[in-house]
Amino acid sequence: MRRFLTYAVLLIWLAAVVLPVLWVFSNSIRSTQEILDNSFGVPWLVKGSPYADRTDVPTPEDTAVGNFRRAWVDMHFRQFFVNSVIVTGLSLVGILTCGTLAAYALARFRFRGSRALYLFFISGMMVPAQLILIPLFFEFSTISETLTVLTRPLGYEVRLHNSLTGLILIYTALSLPFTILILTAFFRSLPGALRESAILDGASEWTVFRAIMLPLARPGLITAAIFNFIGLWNEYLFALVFVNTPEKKTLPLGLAGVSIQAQYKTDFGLMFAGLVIVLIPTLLTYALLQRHLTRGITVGALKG
Amino acid sequence: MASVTLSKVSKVFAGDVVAVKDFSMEIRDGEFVVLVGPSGCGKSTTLRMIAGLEEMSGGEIRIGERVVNEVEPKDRDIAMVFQNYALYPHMTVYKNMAFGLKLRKMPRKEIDAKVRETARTLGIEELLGRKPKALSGGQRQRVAVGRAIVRDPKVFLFDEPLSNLDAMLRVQMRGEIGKLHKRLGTTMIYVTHDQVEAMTMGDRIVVMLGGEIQQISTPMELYNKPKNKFVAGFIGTPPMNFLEGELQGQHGTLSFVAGEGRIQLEVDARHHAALGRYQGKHVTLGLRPEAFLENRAQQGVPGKSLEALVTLVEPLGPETFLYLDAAGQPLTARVPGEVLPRVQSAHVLDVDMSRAHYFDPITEVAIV
Repeated sequence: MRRFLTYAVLLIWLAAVVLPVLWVFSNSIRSTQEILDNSFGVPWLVKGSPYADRTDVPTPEDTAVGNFRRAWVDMHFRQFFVNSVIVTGLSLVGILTCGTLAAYALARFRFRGSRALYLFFISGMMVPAQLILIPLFFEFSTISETLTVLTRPLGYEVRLHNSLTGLILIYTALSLPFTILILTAFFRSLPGALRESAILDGASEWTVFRAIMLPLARPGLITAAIFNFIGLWNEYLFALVFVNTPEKKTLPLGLAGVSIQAQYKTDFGLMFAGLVIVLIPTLLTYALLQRHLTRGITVGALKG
Repeated sequence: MASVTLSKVSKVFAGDVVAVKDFSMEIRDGEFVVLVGPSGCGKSTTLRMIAGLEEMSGGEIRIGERVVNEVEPKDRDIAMVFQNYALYPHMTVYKNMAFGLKLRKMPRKEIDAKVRETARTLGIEELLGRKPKALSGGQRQRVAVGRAIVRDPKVFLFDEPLSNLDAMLRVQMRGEIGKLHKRLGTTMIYVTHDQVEAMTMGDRIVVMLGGEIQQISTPMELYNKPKNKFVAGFIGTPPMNFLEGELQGQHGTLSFVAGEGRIQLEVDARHHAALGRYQGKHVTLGLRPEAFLENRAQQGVPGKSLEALVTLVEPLGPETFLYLDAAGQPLTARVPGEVLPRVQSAHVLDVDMSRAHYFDPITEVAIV
């Protein structure tokens, strides 16, 4: 009975997670008319169109391809996608680089103020992002002006507003507290004797980090990467405030743009196609990396 | 190969916790020295200071002729086997063993030859391609030893390397490490809390307590001539029996009297001189379980035997351990296997007082 209940709850959970995704996928290949008729129905592409004999109605195949083409090309999702990949990718590089180095140092070495420094990093999580939005906006202006004055002789103009660089900096800074928290915990869980053993083997601290600790921290790094990826890929608020020209927009902004346009002419098929474009990288990330989330490879380092 | 000299080495942890105090000793080239003591006695800290993993608070350590106080661990030319083996879990056995050589920029071919040769001598050739998690405890132990010896260090350090193994394997590995020492002839310093390991492996044993050396001796000397009550009780299983009592002299004889006269044992003539000044005073009598001899007739001889209540009988086959209550003081006796008295019966045992030890009850230092 208990078992049955467990499975029942799990099944409901599964449905609650999977059905909306299926619904989005299914509607992304349907026309607005088709969706309005019955948004939960089987797509015409699968069951056959009732207007198969009419030439003035697009075929289901054309509708499906058309939705994605309009999103990708006409609505500039291609550009948004590239921007999102750049911003998320470079932010992740920054987060993981700074995060692992800081976390390793905080986890392994005791130095004056190490505890305070750790708490300082972690306390970043207590500050709501919305709270720093406006101050940061003005601060960026000041920093941009200062840097521009400094770099003008070199022919550079530094702009943090309406630039992917600015967004990457914000994302990196905002994600570090959480990343350092989980990576510090992870590095602490690795046996200290491994470091000592490597040092006696002749390794420098850097070699210990690179050749021993980093490979062992892989599950932790992947966990941090996945969490940050999902957060940043879908980030809307900061992108909305700091980016205003279409060519700098990220996918969530692009998607919002579609729904704003929908006030005048609702194109549901296009919206769902846009959603799918946003969803696919997230789903792929989960599918490819989820086994790393749970795998602990330190098994066997110590007595079994 | 090298000698290791420690002079007045000490370690004070934060909060004024003294872990090691004035540790001085010269470990000869090629010697197998065992540091033994209960947990928290400072033996591992001492070893870690030799390795350079722990900073010293005072004193000097020399490996060979070189003072290594300020020398980095990797430049001390030592190898260490850790209690939990500390094998790199993401590397194969081969890479585990080759890691140190690679860092020392040894040519690839030479590394390969060395790793394979070492693996062959330890019988772990077929494990070279495996990762640590695919190995049994004994195999991991062997790989850890292999990783240490492949580098040809001047000194080997072992930090309780066998304590994670089951009893059978421990005995086997004990023998193998002993053989390894004979074959390599390298200086080895071995830390354990197991006095059996210490007795069976060490050329010399250092018994430690509370951060201080209690005694440095060969195994047999440690057993036969413990310097104080702690060493006497720590070395030997079952441990030495201690009886609190008084030395009483009458017409040229000296007797140990305890339990309001119910225990009376004549002091061996050879011990008289040393015990003279304790006449009429309290002493602690130390008797190893084998100092008790079975009295076949069960007829007590005054001054040479004692009668005690049997509380537990442990037959081991060739011998039997008797746990007794002698006038309120617990005793353990080692008697021949066929002696199996009933529990709660009175049992008479002769006492070989020539093997008795006497300790000052206050300082706990051995009198004789």
